[in-house]
Amino acid sequence: MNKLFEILEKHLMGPLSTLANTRIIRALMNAGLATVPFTIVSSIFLLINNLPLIIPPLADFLKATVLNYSALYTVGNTMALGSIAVFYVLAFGYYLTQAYQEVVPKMDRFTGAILALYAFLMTIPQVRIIDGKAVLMAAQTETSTVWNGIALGGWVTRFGGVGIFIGIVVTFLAIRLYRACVEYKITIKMPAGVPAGVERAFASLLPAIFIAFMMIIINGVLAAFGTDVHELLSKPFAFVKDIAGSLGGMIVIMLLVHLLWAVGVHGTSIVVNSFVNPILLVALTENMEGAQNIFAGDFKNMFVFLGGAGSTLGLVICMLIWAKSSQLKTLSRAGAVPSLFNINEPIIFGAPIVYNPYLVIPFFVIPLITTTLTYFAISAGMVGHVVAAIPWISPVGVGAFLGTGGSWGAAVLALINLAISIVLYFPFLKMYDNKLYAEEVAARESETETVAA
Amino acid sequence: MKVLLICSAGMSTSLLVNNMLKFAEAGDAVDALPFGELEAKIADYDVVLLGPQIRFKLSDVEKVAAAHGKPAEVIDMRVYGTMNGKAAMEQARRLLA
Repeated sequence: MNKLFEILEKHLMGPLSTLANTRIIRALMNAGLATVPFTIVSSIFLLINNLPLIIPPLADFLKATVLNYSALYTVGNTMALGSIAVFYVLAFGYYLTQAYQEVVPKMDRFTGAILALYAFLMTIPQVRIIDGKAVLMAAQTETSTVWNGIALGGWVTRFGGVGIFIGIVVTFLAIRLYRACVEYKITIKMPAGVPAGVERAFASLLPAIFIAFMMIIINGVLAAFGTDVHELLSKPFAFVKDIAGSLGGMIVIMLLVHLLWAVGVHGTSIVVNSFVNPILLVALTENMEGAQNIFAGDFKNMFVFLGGAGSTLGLVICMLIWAKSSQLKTLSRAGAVPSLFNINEPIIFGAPIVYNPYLVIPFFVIPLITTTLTYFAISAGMVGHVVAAIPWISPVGVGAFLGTGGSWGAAVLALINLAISIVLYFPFLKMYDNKLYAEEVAARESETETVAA
Repeated sequence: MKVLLICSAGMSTSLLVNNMLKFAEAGDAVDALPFGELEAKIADYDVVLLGPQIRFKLSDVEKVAAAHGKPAEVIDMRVYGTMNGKAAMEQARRLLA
């Protein structure tokens, strides 16, 4: 077992945390966190629309009153989630510039953010070259219109979740270009005596011109081939998304997260917050529009991370009821309330689960079982799809119920998963607790002996 | 002495903050912040302690801290898990001693 921990530290924690610490990944993590509030805000309005489903007895009343104003308050949803790629691009541009400031301190974060936005906006219109002439596309279908090259559904289609991946790519290109300009001092030289403020105001001019030409050339070449950046990149991204969204892919992700936690580092942050969350976010926005992605949004906090990574709420319940050793008794009382809100660092480091051969086995296994069960329950239609973002601190069952737009099956599944966690932690906890208790008794006896002597 | 605790979301370390404040002396302050805010806020503090779950960020934290001339260290896993405010406070004092 110790050998296993050694291998994990050396071959998994090392490379993965190096990767998670690269400038791009750090910026992606920060950008992801910056967009979370908007996914939650928009879910509030989505849930209002779902109220008749959530409270069936009041359905008629709600439909006749609150829901009449749907067009008014749904704007709060459309402009948050419908524009999520815009928020993402701004945040990623800002944080990537921040990361690059470590090597090029003269870069400016706000400039980085608006340059990234500019580059992204240039990918929005659909241009094609037909008979040697560039034209903006126009089309009309039942649910959407393409007008002057811009696809409109409820709002500008490419501003939504589908735009996130493309936004990441063009933001990266734009910020690299901006960085090169600053690094090699390609700026407009002002004559001596011009105030520094004026000079700074022009600092973004040349990068903006370069970005414009870069995007025009990219758009032009692709237009000649009858496509554009969004269409071109959507296929490889769909492929990556399908892998991460499959049961096998998610099992691998869960395993990595918990292997990292087993050596005491924040596996969730390293693996999920950086690489997986953008994919789950796109899946969530698709689900809000009627798609049926099984793994979407914050499903892991609704169904798998009950009490935190490793589903440790089950362990806490076992300790509260059955622990005899004073170490675990004290810990479970102190850790119970945070665990209700999915905060489990006290348990992970205090029990501890880290480097503890007794507790890591259920810690690895339970999430794999609950992830699999969740997958089949959702695909069999017993549990609703994830259609809303919820704060990750939502207690067991509550998050699942609200996150699925009021599916009772989801709340029941969360409770079943909790029961699985309790049952599987129990034998391992018992073994570990017996050992601790025996040690405590032995320590007390030797103490009394010394006192008696 | 002003202590800054850094963890990934600033949630779990805020539990430790309360326990540390029990061992605070007049003029002491302890706050918990997510890693992303370190750079903006470090100037207001004397010493930085890092939650063990993000100890892989230590080199980054040290870089920022060194630039401001402040010491930084990872909190011991046991101390962190048992939310031992006394030991964490002692660690901060030792770093400044």
